[in-house]
Amino acid sequence: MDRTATRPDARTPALWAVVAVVSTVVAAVLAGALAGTTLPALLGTGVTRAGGDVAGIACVGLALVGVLLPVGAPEANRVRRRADRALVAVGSAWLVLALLGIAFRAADGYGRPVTTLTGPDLLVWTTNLAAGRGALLTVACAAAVLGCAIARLRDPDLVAGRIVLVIALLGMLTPGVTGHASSSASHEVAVTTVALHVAAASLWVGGLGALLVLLGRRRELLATALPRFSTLAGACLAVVTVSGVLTAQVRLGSWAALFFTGYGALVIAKAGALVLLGGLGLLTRRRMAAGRVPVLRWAGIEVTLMAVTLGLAAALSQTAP
Amino acid sequence: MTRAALRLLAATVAACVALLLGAAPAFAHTRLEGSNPADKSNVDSAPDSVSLSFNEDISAEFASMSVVGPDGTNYATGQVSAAGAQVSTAVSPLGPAGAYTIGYRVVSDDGHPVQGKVSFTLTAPGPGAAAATPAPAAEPTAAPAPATTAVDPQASTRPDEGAPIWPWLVGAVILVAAGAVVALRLGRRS
Repeated sequence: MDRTATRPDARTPALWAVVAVVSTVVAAVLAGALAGTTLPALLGTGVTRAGGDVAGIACVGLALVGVLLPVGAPEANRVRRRADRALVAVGSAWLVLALLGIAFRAADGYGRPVTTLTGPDLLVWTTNLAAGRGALLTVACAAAVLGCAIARLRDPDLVAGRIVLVIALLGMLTPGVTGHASSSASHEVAVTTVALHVAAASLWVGGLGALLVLLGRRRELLATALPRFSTLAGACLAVVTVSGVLTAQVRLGSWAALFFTGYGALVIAKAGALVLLGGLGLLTRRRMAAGRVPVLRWAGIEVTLMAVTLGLAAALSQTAP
Repeated sequence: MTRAALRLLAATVAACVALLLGAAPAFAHTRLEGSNPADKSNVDSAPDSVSLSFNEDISAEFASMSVVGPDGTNYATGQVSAAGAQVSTAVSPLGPAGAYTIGYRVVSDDGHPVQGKVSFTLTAPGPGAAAATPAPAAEPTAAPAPATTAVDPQASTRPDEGAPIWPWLVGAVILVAAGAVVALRLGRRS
């Protein structure tokens, strides 16, 4: 009963994206982000931030699958081509969301509706503020990923898969390193730990999601790629945990802030989700070791939980402690 | 070293450089550190400008201040200037004695707006109390202000310079989407 899929199912990733975006807005509102801005502005920045994060992580995951698959096997090459086609679609979504994200965040900065912004307004926002410069870099990386994916569609040897992976990771890092971390007291430590946190989380979440979507119905390929990914995922989990704790500590500064602020509540929620994800990952490895590959339903739940966590992360980026 | 390894190294170096370019200098999160007149102080003679100092450099383009008196009028002239970490605005001659509230809205380096209020009490009526014409309190481009009416977020009276950019953004979005569709169509084999 091993039907070869003609096209990866696009409904499940769309559902994950919706979960992440909705989580962002709900979490931000619950954490008190409305105290400093209006609901339309929060919706604009929240949706573009969370949506952009989902698209960027999807690009990282798709590029990672291309790297994890064995070289030369015709079936693997077919899957790589599917991944490249998906990269064109998702990469353009990332580019669009990154561009709109600049507009909404600039509008939030000026305190005006986004429809009143002029070209010079945007220029000033993107050049004067570190956040603006970082946002421009994300746009550049998204455009580069899109360009590389289009090139690879013509000839897969034009651009190595590793290059696309690195560019996508870089595009994911810039919002974090120009965000809260860059304006906190222990600047260098904070920026490095946030960068590691985002990179590890992107590889983990993106990789799992892309594996599910691309290889869900191809048992043999999944059997070769999954163990490699599982090792990577274990390392990513460790890095995410350690860097997450360090970043939260630098940002919150005290146990009181952890328990009594909206920001602290978001951190606790993320930590809880991380424990759940770690538990699911452990169960998955046990099942794999017992020879029961693939654990699709578990992994589906895991990615949905990751989508919620993504949303929480995006909400964190908009909330002041 | 193989060429592949060299390329990977080049990509990593480029990534690190780009990261440094994107990273911001080390500042603490934007916080008001002091003001002139000081918060909750009594002032005998009306100042002709008020200033706020923060813990990091503030960009004047995104800063706005208002000075609202007990009669509800905004005495700030609307032009905000910033010198490093200090933001100030000139005020027209202040009116009746009483509680004045300085409202401010600035944007920190990570892009987040920070709002707040500082209040001081004028113990003697200022030179503007005799005059009957108060400064304009409402700006035509007043933004949706979630705080009290004391804060006027868009105090700058900069006239409309240039057309809105959102049509261009919509055009760019359509262009990117169309480009992706074309690339996918052309890339479809058999």
